Amino acid sequence: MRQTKLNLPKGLLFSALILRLFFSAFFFHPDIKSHHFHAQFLTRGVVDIYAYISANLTRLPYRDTFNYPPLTYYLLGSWNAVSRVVLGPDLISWLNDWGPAGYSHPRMFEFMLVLKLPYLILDFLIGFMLLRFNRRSDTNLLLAGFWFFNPVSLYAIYMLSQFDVICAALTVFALLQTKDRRLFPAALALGLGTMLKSYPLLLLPFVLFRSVNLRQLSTALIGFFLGLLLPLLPVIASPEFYYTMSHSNLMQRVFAAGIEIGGAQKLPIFVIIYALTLWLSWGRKKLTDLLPEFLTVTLSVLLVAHFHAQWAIWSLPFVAVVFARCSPARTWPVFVAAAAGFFLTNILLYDQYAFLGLFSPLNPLAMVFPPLPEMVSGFIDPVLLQSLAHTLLTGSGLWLLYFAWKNYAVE
Amino acid sequence: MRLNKYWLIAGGYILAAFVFALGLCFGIRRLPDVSQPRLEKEVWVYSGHSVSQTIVPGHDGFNVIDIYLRNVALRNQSPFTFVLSDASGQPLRTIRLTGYNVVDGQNIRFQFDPIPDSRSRQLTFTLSSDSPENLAIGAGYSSADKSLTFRSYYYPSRRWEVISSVLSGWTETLFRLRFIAILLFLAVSGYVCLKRIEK
Repeated sequence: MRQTKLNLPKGLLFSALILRLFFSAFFFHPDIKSHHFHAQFLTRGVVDIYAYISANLTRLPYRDTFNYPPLTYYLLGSWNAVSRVVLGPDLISWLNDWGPAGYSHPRMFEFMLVLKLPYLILDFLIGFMLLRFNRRSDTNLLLAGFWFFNPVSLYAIYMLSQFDVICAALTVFALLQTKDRRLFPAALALGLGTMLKSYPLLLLPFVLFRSVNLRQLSTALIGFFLGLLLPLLPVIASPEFYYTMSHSNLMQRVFAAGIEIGGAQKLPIFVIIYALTLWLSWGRKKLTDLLPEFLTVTLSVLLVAHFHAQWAIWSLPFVAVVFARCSPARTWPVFVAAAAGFFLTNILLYDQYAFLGLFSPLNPLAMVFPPLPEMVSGFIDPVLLQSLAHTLLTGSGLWLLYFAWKNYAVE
Repeated sequence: MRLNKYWLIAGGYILAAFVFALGLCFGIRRLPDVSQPRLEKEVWVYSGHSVSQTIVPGHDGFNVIDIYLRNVALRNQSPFTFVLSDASGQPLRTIRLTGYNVVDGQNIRFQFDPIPDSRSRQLTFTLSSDSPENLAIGAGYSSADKSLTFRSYYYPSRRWEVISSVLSGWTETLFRLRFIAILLFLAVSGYVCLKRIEK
């Protein structure tokens, strides 16, 4: 098989591109419509989306609030402006149609293809950054094969249509920069990432631990606050913004799982893992490769919290590196088990758009089916099955963390 | 370009998506027919005060109707009856339940053996209850439509018709010139970019 300069077989990247183009077009999740419903207001000059929604809620055809930090709004709003040029006024009339036919349109494939294009570009960018991070040409093929063809990222990015891939790209960039001891851009990326979803904030201490002197620490902190403040400035005085951010879904969910110790006290499992990771990281602070830390924090959210499926994208780039380096010929059952656990946990949600509903552009009758838990409830308790699946994911995920720390953290 | 395993994987994913989407047609036990989804208020069903609604199904095989019902505070435990009759008043299907089966505001599904010749027939369903007025069951209603809130379904007796409706949907949406143009543009420009990156 002929090889490219990236040490990848011919056709790997292009076939991955074609696969992504088709998956972008063929699947629909209502979240992409609600994201772009809010994003459309940027081109109308609305800078503080939180206050705008609060003031106009009763007049809007869609009445949910915008639940993400402001950079999400500016990025999606910018792409929305480009998309409406490509797709014409049909896009805007569809985005504002929340009637019974609001989740279908004769031009749905075009809409999905164009609206998901930034995710596709960032997906490829992550792949290239991972190859650069890996620096081992013998495992590049495994890494690229995993990243470009694993079903979890296809599901979370293109089927569920979620923008978490933007955050993931920023955290991989931070990983890469920290490895090269460039803490300012790493912290800047994490600051920007925090303005998309809150989890990159959890990764900042590991970057700061790598500063060799006070000057570098200060520079990193300046980078972080710069990334944080720039998108924040337009809404810094908005009480509606603070209200939205104080109700973060992530924070509520990661604190839910805990160990009761009596006296009404509970030890949140995620916080225990996070604290342990902090001290392990402190112990190896001379090493600039933060893969074990980034993997542990992002994967633990999936393992011990009632997660949203798209959160898998946070840890998946780091899982890809572990996959490439852990002799997958022997260890592939762990990854298959983790993926099976992940998918079963998700599709057993009482949400038509966790699985069958995603196929509605290809087959509108997909919406006629009851949610999957209702379909299996005649044979097995769906909650029990879902809990078993999550346990499988957690067990397999813990093995990945063990592998990462045992074989990789001491290099 | 020689077909290698990556093309097979990518093609396999795409083919699997199409096959699965089409395969869903074989699992469908009911398809949507006429409906009135708007809910403005409730009309109340109690002893001596039954509520009726006439519908004209668009397909043969009418077998399910979801009706918005409300058992306020779940206080009603009395017998509750659904009767479907034809234009002459002849009962075709009867379902008996109690207030225990009705929650405080939700679509309740009434499923019965398919009516083979239901298409364009005038059918009437009647809801009646033995309960006193203060424990009445509410049925969703829209004044603008002068109709109860319901969704009806039919059993697809000819599976091929379902499959062909999905296939014709594909020909209408997949072969749109603008979609193909955007897809080709992105594929070609992506190919050029990837070539440059590889070099």
